[in-house]
Amino acid sequence: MHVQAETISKKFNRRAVFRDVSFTVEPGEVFGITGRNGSGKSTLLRIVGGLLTPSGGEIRYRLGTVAVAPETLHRSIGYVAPYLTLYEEFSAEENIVLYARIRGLRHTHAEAQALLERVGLPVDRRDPIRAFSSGMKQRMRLVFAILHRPPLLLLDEPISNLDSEGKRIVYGIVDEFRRHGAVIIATNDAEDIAQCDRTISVEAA
Amino acid sequence: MIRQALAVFRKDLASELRTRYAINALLMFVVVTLAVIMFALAGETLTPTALTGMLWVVMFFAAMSGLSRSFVAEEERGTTMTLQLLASPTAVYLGKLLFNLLLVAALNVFIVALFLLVMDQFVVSQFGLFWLVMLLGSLGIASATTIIAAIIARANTKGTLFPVLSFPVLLPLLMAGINATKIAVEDVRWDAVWPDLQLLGSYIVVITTVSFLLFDFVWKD
Amino acid sequence: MWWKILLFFWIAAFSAIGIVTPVAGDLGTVGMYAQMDAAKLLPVKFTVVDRGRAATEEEGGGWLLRGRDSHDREADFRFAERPADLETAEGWLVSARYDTQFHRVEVAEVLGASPAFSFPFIPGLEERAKIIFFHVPMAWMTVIAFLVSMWYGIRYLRKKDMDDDFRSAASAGLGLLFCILGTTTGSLWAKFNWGSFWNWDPRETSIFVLLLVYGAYFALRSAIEIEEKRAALSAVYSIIAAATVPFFVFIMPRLMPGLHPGSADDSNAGPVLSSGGMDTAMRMVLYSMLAGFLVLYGWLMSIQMRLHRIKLRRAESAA
Repeated sequence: MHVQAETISKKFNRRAVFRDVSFTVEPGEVFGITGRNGSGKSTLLRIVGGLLTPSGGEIRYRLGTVAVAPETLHRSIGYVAPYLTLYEEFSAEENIVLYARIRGLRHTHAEAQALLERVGLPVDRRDPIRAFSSGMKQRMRLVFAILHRPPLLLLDEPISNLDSEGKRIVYGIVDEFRRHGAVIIATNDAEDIAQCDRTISVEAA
Repeated sequence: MIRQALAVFRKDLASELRTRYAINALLMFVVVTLAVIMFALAGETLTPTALTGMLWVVMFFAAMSGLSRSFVAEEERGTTMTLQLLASPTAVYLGKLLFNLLLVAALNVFIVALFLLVMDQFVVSQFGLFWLVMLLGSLGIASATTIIAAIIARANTKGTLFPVLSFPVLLPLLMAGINATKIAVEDVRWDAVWPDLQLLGSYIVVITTVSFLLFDFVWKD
Repeated sequence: MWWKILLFFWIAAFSAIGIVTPVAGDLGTVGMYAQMDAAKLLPVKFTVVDRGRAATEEEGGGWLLRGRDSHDREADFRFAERPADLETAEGWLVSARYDTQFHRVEVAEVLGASPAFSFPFIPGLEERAKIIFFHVPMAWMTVIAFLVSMWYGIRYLRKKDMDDDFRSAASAGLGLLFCILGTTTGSLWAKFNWGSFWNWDPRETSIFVLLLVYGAYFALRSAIEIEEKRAALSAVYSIIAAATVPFFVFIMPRLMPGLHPGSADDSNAGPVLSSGGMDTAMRMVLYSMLAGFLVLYGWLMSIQMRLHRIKLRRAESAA
């Protein structure tokens, strides 16, 4: 996926979070967004994910030569963030079935098991994910993001709450999805930045 | 699109069946409201048309206490963003509309059943028309309140705001619905009830269309 | 600057004209009341055709003269005594009733010289008809302000310009003010004319609904902290509320009897302004007041906008 952001700005209550941010992410790239706390990394990532409307500027998405319309953007994006809450009254597998169904994808028990195994979650737990530890929840968010094999993966502090095995899984996914499309990571972590081909720094306005 | 909307609906239904967040409280709400009415009216003889008014009052307040649930729950649990990432706004709106419709229809059937059971004076002369009006009323209530629920889910004082915002929008529906129900309860004159049915029908179409067109602005930040 | 002074004098002048101008009936009104309520004294205006003579004993005494009304109808008028300014007066405004025995107009009291400018006597409203110059412009402004608010709301949704949201809210604020004024004046008036403050006639119901919508609009606005979200949601709400208006138009006249002119069961069916009784003079004053209120509204909007800009600049320089 090719992403081109042009002079993006965002204001909350007329206070500018950031102004005139422009960048391009080429297919096959891992792109890093860095910046101090409160600089608007997450805000920018949400804008790229189509979850927030920018106050100014425009983002264009292209799959090959085909432009992606904002209405269908959610199909091409996988998003991981600490502030993303999953449906905690359901079990891990029920969550997977639910995502697949809402996305209109076929789903099998074996695929769900494979996904859970991939992120290192127990495959046979039937209890709601409410009871999961924060690290397990973070792994579940990875499942949420990669289930539909999106061409653009957006990761906001992806290794938060994860142990070294978890980090390895995240970087494995980053490596796979850069070949499959593109990855954008919003982070300040040195290990994360080491994964990136290029980075930009967002500065608070 | 329809399949995705149905999936959103199934998700809400499964979630509700698992948590029983709304339904238990709603059923109790109806029972309590009816009990209050019965205590307040103990020994009074009321005409069926007066009881029709009561019926709609109970229906209105039951809807007001329950129908904001589907959106407010997403907001409170913090899953709004998850749903935004999963489905298109259209699918979300249709799914929630369907869920609200099922909820309000079930609620209204329960209310009417209780009414017929405990209010001896409540006699309906034409059940076919009566249920038709109830169906249209439920459709109308669901279509008008779904978008308002989506609006108030984003505000601070969700619970109190819901009836405040809903009442002016629901008023034409309530007026036509009450009138049509009274006609169905008294005796059927199709020529008398026809304008109300037309109005209920066009209200549903107009409000659903307008909500559908505006939902994007409410749903996306 | 000059137009503000003009606006002030415009509204003041037409308010004064509206209040001071006497209500005067003609011979048609007198004839009508002879059948409805023969004892009632009505204001009647006429010009002198013939200065007349002293009436005989059989005729009940006093002074008899011939007068002509604004529709060129003539009748005999009997005064209890010879009018003091009989020789000079060209006509009088009198309080009178029809005398069916002698088929003449019985003058109870001379109110003054015949005014050049008067409003017609509308049965059932009389002097109270003058509320139309204040109440109707307020009611119109309530609706216009709502439409303007919605229009800016739609513009906000399209262009995401926060100024449009401010205009939308400012217009809604003015609309709420006019709504409260219109409701209060109407309600007070209804007490005197219809006997109670509130009657749930269709127009009263619709202004009540509008009041609720305005209330809900501001309740919603105050409950959302993020300005952009507040702007979008309140715009959406005002559009939804507006979408229900046509249903009220259809449903209310069928369910409720109307008291206002122009209601479905009114014999003078039609919009308020074309309903019977208003003449050109009244209509002129009403339209002038409407124009005045419209400009006043525009002025208040521009004041609010300027105030808003100043506040913004202050906030910016403070930050």
